Amino acid sequence: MPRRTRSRRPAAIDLATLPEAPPEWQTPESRFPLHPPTVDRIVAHAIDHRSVHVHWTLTPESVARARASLDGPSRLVLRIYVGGEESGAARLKAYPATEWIGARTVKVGSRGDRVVAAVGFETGGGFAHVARASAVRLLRAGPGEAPISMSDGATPESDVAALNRFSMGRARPGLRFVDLGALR
Amino acid sequence: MSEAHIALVVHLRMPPVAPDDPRVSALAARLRDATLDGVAVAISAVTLDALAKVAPDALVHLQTAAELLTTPATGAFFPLLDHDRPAMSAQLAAAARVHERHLGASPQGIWFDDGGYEPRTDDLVSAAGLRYAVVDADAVRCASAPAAYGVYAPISCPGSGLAVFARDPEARRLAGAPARPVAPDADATSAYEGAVAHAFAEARVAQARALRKRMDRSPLIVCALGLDELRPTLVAALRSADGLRLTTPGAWLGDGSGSIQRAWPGPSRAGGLVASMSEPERAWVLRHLHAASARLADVFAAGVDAASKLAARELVFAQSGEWLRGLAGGVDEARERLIDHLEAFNRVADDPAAFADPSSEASAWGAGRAAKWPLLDDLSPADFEVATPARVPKPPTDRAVDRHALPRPNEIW
Repeated sequence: MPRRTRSRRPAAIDLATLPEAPPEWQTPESRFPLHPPTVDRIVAHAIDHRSVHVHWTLTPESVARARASLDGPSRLVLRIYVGGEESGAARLKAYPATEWIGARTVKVGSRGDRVVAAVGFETGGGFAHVARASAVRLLRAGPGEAPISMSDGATPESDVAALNRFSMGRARPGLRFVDLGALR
Repeated sequence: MSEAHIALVVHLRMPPVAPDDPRVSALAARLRDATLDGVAVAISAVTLDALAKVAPDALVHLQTAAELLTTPATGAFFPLLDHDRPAMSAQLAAAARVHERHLGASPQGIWFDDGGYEPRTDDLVSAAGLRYAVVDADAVRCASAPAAYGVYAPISCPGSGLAVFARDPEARRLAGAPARPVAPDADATSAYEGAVAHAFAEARVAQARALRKRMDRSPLIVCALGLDELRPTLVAALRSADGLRLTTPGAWLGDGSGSIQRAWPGPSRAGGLVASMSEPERAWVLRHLHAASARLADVFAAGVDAASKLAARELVFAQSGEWLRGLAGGVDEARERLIDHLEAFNRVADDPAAFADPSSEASAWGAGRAAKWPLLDDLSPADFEVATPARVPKPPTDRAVDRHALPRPNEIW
């Protein structure tokens, strides 16, 4: 059963108890500071036919608000909603997160699945979203090919043999075509 | 009737460097020596700007190509721009404008670096005056409807009418390529290249015949290659191949008859750049790029023209896909330039008002930046304006997400 989110709004946020900005504000891997975020952001990229890369940035205010909407201790998690390409049935995966400015690459689904990533706080009985990414779709094909190479590494393989493995695609009734002349 | 059409699309790849960079003059020299007749050539706006300043004769030679395509202005890799439509719009608008300024005509088509394509951007491409795009095969394989002819016929985006050609993954294979000479001299190298070109053409002929049996129309094979790979022997071999007709995407659209399938292209992540940039040691770049992109609207809102233009240029330079590819390859220059442009952008965004006074220290610094990279001089906030709204379904509400409801199947997004 999917967990239900508690939607009640916190009555007030005690600014004095706002959590401090985490040390990740200063990104150690770059020589220049990350501009302190003023909005919550989560971005998801489909990497290939089964993986997505997600990075997120949360603000202390949103974290406080989310925590205040939940009862009891909570933990930050990355949620991935995966919807099947044909059925639309969705399933949920959750990954513990420890950073307010974090990133993670996860293998979540299969070809063509639709994926929505979100970060929020989870308790034993509830979940409060802090940020949610736009939906992305996993690729239907594997990693693509580089431009043709006329130099080393050429595969002495018959193209005709390769064509035997080639699928033209499933032509089906209802495909819509338009006259080429309309494009000129 | 010919068995098949084949189009060679040559991409001139160059990072946004200053015109006095040795790479610009080296490219100009290679262009002067290249035989471009019969092929389509894609060149970015920053490369055109640089060539125009130091080697205008190379641009004249460039116009001997059968067709000239543009690319995003700084070669931005759209799949990594976080659906930033204003930034994509600026890349396209600047590309088309610079192309027309230096080459005298608006580009008809665009080559996306590495074939990377982001869905729902066809309206932006079309709004920039472009009729067609050349992308990776994945985009057509993942189209909104199964492509009836695979990658061997373009598809047309409903609404925008943008024609999308996919490069052929089979055409990168070399059938029967001879062994490279162990100790090459000029004659051996020439013979080797000729044999490779001949083998390539023969493979395309065999491919065309096999395709023709399955298709009720002439297939179009799109080969994307770099300037190093374009040799006169290759073009000559393809010209003389039985059953092949050398064409360009634009000419194919103009000469073709019949119909073109309507479908929206899907995403393509060719070349492994997305996977590479998702590695922990490089993922920080995307966070900074996306954060900077989100701040640009605030800079524009400040209403300081000089700050807006400077911030826009720094961001567009930082978004160059060449830096991302350089990072993946461990190139120090890529990391330095990325950080340099992002630092400059953040300085402008931190205090746009400081640039209101032309005599201020900030304005002098900004003028120095513009002189250091004299490219895309006329980039303006207007380029970031998106005329058409995104074709994006309404995002699910909290309640919908909690119920695990996702966009319906077959919904285009």
